[in-house]
Amino acid sequence: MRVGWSSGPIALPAGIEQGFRNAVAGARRALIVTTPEVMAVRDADRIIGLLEATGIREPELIINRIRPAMVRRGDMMDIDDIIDILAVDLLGVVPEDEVMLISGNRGEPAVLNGSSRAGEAFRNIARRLRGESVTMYELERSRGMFSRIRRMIGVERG
Amino acid sequence: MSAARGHLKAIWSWFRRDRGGGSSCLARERLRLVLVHDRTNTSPGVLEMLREDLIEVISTYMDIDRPAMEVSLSRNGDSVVVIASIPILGVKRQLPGAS
Repeated sequence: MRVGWSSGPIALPAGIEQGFRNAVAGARRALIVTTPEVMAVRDADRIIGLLEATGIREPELIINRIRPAMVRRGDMMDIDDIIDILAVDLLGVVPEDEVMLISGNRGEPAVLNGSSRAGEAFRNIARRLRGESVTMYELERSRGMFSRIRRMIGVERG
Repeated sequence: MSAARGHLKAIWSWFRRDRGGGSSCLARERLRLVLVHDRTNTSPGVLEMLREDLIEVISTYMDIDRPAMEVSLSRNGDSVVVIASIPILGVKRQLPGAS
């Protein structure tokens, strides 16, 4: 049977019950969305294990709702921490952004909002999915002097 | 180069911790512990394979009660430990390799 689309996204319900099995049955590639919280990363690790068991190799990771100020303070796991622990490739990082909630309230897609940092992150993820090479989202537009010095001496990744 | 970068990062995080933050270190550590449990549980074959290998090694020195043998993971303070309870029926008189 010929269908109109060669591929499309399947949104998984949270959890690993029947919904998970139904959704992965037709999947070729997997994107895992997690937040920088202990229990969320734990669940992501379980999902990666289950995906491997169903034969979907090399899933890619999206880290959602990261808060750069908390990462700088040392109160939130940073991107490298999560990537090291899960041992998967990173597809994108989405910063916490109030616009997401407001867009949801209004029923407007946040990706259409040109001034939203989260929207920009989602657009970048979409372009990477299409095979374009887009540099990783810079977590903060306006960097302070210390941050610039840290980047210069190589402590912090640009 | 990467070692120097690691040192700088350590120094920087020391300064950062001094300012009151730093709970992300705890998050990493907690995550490491739960994942040891999770990954062992989601692949139960691991403990079974470990059990078989332990039997093989110990059997060269001792006669053991295989059905009564238990291998499990347990949390001990800040680390996860493998606990093996292996009842010994007897010790072999002639050790392998000893002539």
